[in-house]
Amino acid sequence: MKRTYCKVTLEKHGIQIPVTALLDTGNFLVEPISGKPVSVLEETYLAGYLPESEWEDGFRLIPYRSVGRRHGLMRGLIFDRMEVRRGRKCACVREPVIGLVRGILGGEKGYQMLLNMKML
Amino acid sequence: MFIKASISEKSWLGVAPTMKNILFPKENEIHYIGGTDVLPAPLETDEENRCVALLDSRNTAEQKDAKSILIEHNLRLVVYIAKKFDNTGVGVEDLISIGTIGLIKAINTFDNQKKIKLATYASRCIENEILMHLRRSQKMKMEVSIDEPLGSDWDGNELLLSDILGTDEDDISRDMEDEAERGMLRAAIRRLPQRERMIIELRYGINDPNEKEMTQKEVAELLGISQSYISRLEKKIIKKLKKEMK
Repeated sequence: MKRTYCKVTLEKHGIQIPVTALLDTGNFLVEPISGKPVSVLEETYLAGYLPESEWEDGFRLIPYRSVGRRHGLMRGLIFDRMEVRRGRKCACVREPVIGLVRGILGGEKGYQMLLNMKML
Repeated sequence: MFIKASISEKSWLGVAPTMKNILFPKENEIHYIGGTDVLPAPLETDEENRCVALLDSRNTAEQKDAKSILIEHNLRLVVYIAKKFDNTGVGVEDLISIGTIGLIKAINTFDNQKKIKLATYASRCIENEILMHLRRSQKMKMEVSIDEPLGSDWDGNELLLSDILGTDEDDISRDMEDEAERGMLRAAIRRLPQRERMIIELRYGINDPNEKEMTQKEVAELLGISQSYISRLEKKIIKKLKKEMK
């Protein structure tokens, strides 16, 4: 089973954040109020790029379920835009909703984000 | 809502979701995440009571779980309250996020011993949180820093609001000097002998309600002296005043 990675750039208030993302077919997360799909990013990774002052604007709380966690409330952030690149192909998403997870997603595998297919 | 460059669907969907995709968490790897399409419905009374009882549990995992359940199933309450503030200029979604923080605070501080229902207590906390945020953002909107950068010139020197705002110092000192001079002049005129003072006052309309300035001829007639004499006197008086003003 082939893993599909892509290069993502998140942008907020002029700050660019480069991320390696895994196209995750198991991610069905949706923000219940707006109905927007949610991709998931490592919180500590983001903290390395985005200063604390930028975390309040566009803050969201997203209920979720995952293996080993039946009830969860995930912190999320709305970015200005997101660019997804794979090979020669490129897609642009406006105001993506990004959920933040504590802990590691990819670790040694080298990705920090799980991309929700519905976003593309 | 998003711009899609020309990508065929096939190339993005590498693998169809099957059981194989759902991995068990290894070292905190999460690969399956589900959400809710609609917000969870409120709890039945007995379910809620069970969770509330667990809030006091010593078992932290149990307690955490109970809290999460209570939060999730009361999110509809947050939406209901947040919608009331829809007209305040802050987006409903932001209000919901803020309200949810209020809900979390409510559940963290709820005291089962007190005779208040969770929904009532939570409603108050949610509203409080939203109101606090509105007050804060109101204040922020009114405030502008006086050192607000407005732009920069070619050399990269910044132009601040404080550079533009405010009266020119020259204007201020000039106004003050003028006032001081006028005061001195008035005092000097008062010191003049009576006839000289009268001449100046009539000629320049000082102390006249209409500020009428009389011609030399008019003053001459009034005082019973010749116009040429008035002219000479006037010159003398003004010279004298000038000397006093120095």
